[in-house]
Amino acid sequence: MIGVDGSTRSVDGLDDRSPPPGRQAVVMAALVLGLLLMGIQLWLLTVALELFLGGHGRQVWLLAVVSGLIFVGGLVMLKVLRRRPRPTL
Amino acid sequence: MSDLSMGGAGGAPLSRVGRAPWRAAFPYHWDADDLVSRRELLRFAVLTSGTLFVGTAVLAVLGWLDNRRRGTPTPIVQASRVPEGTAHYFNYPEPDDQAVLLHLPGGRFVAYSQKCTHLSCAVYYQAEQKRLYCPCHEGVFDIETGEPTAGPPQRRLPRIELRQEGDALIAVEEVP
Repeated sequence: MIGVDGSTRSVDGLDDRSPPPGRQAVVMAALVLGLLLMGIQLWLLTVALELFLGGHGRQVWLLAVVSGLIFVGGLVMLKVLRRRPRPTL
Repeated sequence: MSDLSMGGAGGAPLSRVGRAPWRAAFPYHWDADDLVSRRELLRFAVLTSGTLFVGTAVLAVLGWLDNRRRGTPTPIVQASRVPEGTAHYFNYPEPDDQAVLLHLPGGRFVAYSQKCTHLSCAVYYQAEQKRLYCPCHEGVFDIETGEPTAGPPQRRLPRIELRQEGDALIAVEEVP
């Protein structure tokens, strides 16, 4: 609805506009990257299981380090996205 | 939507008076809904990523701690009773664990668990083909190393370390 001051705002106080240009692309890119890295982690887990069952469990720590770095990267990505909220009117 | 007619009277704030019940349950504008869903999915992906990391880390810790060498030194058979190119079947490290001792051409002795690394069927020595063969799914293992050479198995057979004292062959331990 249009307020008395001419701004566009719904009755709930929510923004009527779409997200700023480029914002959706950033979130979409982060999402695709996150899913891709999650796939890599799944592959790392299967390799780790294969090594463990094959009796080479002492080589698994390197895979765990890589998997941990990917997880930390995902957390950082979430934090960066949260730091830039949608601008409101 | 006639929000003003629903609410403005009585001086109540417009945004609260005009709230439809479904708005309380789903407080997203349709434009923002797309973005929120992706953010939620991303959060879920990172959470799953953490779970996968924990799984890999647990395997790393288990692999570091777990020493799966099994068995105690146990006499198997007299070496002279196993001619070159033949096999002797025995149980090791537990009475229910089947194993096979091979007298390789050249005089060397090797021993492996009989449990196929595919689905745990028993493997047998085929002297003509000089191979260890799993009849369940036609898995084949090399007699020198225990490594799979054909069929579905991907891992080598657990090896049994041997020691020879005089004529006696002694199984020392099973190594995965």
